Amino acid sequence: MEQVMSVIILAFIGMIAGIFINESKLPVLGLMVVLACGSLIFLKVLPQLAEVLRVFTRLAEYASLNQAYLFTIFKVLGIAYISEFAAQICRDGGQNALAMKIEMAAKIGVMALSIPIMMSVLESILQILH
Amino acid sequence: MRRYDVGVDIDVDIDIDVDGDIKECGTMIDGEIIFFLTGLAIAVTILHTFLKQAGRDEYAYLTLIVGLTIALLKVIPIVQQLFTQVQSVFKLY
Repeated sequence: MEQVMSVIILAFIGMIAGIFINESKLPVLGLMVVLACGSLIFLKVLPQLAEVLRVFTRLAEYASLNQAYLFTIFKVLGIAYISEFAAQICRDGGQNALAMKIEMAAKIGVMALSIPIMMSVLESILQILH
Repeated sequence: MRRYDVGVDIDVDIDIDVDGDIKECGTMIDGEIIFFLTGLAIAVTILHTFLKQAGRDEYAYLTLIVGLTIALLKVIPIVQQLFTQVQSVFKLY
């Protein structure tokens, strides 16, 4: 609860400061406020997220699941979040093309990560068929 | 965990203890960077208009560059911290 409260307060401060800075002679600083604010908010939330992911890892251990698959999912989550963050910043700065390129890079990265899993699924299907 | 620390800490301590499990991060907002950037924007704006009124256009432009550099020096460590943290949490090596 207090976590969410502090995040909200931080976001409001950032928003008001951003509006104020955009009127000044150096509007780039508004973008930087957004960047810093977003980073701080995510840094606040990350320890909780790490706890949740640790629990998931333990559950996977109980289910005797392959750790590599779980870590692949974590990596996909991380890529998705961080690329979305960067793309939003670029879009705020008016660089739509750059934002789309970041998203494309993230999609390619996710695809490259997921190919081993896909291949293992295909191999098991082939084994069943033979 | 390395915290970003310059001077004043804003301590918003809302003691609502419904879910007492999450005590890891504390309640400190490291929000002073935002106030710093706002103050920097004010200072740069004042200096810029002042120098422009005095007819020193090149110095006026220089204040903008210096302000931007200071802001970058303050913001980049936070972003770097975010990246390292995300890498360690999501096990992206």
